[in-house]
Amino acid sequence: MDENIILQVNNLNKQFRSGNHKIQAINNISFNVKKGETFALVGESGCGKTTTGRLLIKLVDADSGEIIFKGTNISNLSNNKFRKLRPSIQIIFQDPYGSLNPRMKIKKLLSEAVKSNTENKSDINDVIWELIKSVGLEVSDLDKYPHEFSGGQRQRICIARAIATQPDLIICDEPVSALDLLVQAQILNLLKELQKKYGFSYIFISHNLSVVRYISDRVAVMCMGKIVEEGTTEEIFNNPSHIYTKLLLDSILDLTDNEKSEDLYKTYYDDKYQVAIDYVSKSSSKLNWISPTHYVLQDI
Amino acid sequence: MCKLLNIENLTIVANEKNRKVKITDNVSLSLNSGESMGIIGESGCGKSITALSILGLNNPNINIIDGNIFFENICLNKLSSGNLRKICGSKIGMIFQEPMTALNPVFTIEQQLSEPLKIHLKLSKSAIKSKCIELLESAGIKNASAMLKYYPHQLSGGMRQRVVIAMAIACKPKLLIADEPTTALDVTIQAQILHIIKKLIKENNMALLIISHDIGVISKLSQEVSVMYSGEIIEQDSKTNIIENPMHPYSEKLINSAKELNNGCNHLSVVNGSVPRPEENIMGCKFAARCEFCRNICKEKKPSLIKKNNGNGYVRCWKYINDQNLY
Ligand SMILES: Nc1ncnc2c1ncn2[C@@H]1O[C@H](COP(=O)(O)OP(=O)(O)OP(=O)(O)O)[C@@H](O)[C@H]1O
Ligand SMILES: Nc1ncnc2c1ncn2[C@@H]1O[C@H](COP(=O)(O)OP(=O)(O)O)[C@@H](O)[C@H]1O
Ligand code: SF4
Ligand SMILES: [Mg+2]
Ligand SMILES: [Mg+2]
Repeated sequence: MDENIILQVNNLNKQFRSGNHKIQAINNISFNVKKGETFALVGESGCGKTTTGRLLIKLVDADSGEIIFKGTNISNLSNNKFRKLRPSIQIIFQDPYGSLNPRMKIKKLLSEAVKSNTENKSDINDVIWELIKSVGLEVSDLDKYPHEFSGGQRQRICIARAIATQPDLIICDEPVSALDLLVQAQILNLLKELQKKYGFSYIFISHNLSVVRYISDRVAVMCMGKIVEEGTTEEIFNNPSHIYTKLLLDSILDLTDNEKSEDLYKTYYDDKYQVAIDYVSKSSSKLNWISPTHYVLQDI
Repeated sequence: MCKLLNIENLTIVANEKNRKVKITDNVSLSLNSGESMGIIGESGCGKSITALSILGLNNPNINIIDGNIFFENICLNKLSSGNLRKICGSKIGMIFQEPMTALNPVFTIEQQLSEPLKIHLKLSKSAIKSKCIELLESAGIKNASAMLKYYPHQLSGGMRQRVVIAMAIACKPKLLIADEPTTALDVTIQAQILHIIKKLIKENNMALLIISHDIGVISKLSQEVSVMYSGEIIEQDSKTNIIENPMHPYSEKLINSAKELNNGCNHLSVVNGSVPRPEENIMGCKFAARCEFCRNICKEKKPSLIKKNNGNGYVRCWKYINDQNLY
């Protein structure tokens, strides 16, 4: 296997059942993530982005398929053995309010995270000071509780907690969706800066295409549990080739061009949307390679 | 010609346990019939409170302490709630961020949609049913007659928002207020909903007050834009001027950030800090702590909203107040 690949996912499947109704939440997806890169999963609500993230950290078990993390097949690893690997994969959630224990001071929160990685031998206070400063907060903030912070600051704390275990891979599930534009910019730049410094790989989950274009190196577009197109960020944005990707890109609201706004007025998104969805539900699992790094899912 | 909507110097406070907190300060805006105005600003800056105050829908602990809201020359904030409902129900329609705010989970779509038609338009039973179907169709719902029997929880978020739009325009209001109508929806659904709102206001010659934290949404739907920051209007101008030539340092940062993201640049410029909370008592300019142009006067004295030199817009910033002794 390519030395640079830290995560390889092969033919992953997951079905959920509610009553006698079945949902194929993840439909035969494969992708890989390289060291130090940002790999994005984009798509609409319910397309399976979060489920993919949860499968990777074994919060839910896959029905079939392989997840190979740093050479180890973790899909059939016992929970006990996986726990040893767990500090190397971290996750940051959309909701910075819900994911911090409200009764725990920031200092305690971070020291627990640091301790969960046994390799870390240096003085824990030094580590925590370094952490809080690296996410742009003050040492005096360590003695505060989560409710004393704004949404953007809480997301910084979540990031500090995620990097505390010195992970190789951080799954960011909509990390800026709940934040205002100017705060989004702060957090996105922080993520980039930390990646440069520590060499993390990110899986960046988002429905916001502009954010994805800014942060990621490669992009996979998901629709109804399938990856319908994958390529470098440039390939996806400059040469979108799947009908669904094109529709997603058309939906970006730009500010500059008034003609497109007239277009928006004339075009019936409804119909286009239905066509794209039908197309995806009928597509096979064959890949159509456009370049060595760019493919779309083929029609039957 | 009289304005359709005229909000004058609106100051709103929230009564909390042991203190009063000013939430909006001296907000003025006006709208002629058929015009559209967007309010943009970060979360918590007072957009919803301003919009909800028009319809008297704010929580009881939120009070107008100064200023007036006129709709067709009637002072809404002095009306009894009964009279306000009579006027608002038929002449002002409202779309909420979260569609379930406007829908009642225990009634079918038909029951909810019929209500305003019965009360305000006094239509017959059979006329009501066909009107319901017509309204749902105009909001982009294909199988409208089947949908009538559904309950809200059986619909997707996008479908619910369409039903709310159908309800809001049921009585052909003169003014439609849309508070973050697409924030809870996916991008593709957002495009569909914006398209429907745009079509409806054009066809029915409705005025629109659209509220969003997303300049992309504002730019699709409004001619005029008010930028709010921490309870104050800090700039007001045509959409073109705001987007192409924002003057207030905050508007400039906001627009640039959106442009940078949309144009796929590889470095986003960052503004440090965050919006002051309403309870922080700030004497001067509310943006001062984050502003690169801040000088002493900015921290000491609040700049007033002044007319721009070029054109019809307004801006609240010492940089543009032509008194060289001060800035
Ligand atoms: N525990 C579960 N039981 C049943 N169905 C589930 C469960 N978890 C997820 N699903 C379904 O699986 C599909 C994918 O869900 P997922 O949460 O991965 O979507 P997502 O792409 O993250 O969406 P969003 O953008 O809204 O977060 C959806 O149809 C969802 O309803
Ligand atoms: N019922 C309430 N009691 C006290 N404060 C409130 C209440 N509702 C809103 N606020 C405060 O008023 C400010 C403006 O709120 P809002 O108009 O909802 O903001 P937005 O611009 O996001 O729509 C916020 O600081 C908010 O916390
Ligand atoms: S008044 Fe001063 S601090 Fe406020 S925006 Fe203008 S220059 Fe900046
Ligand atoms: Mg999700
Ligand atoms: Mg609001």
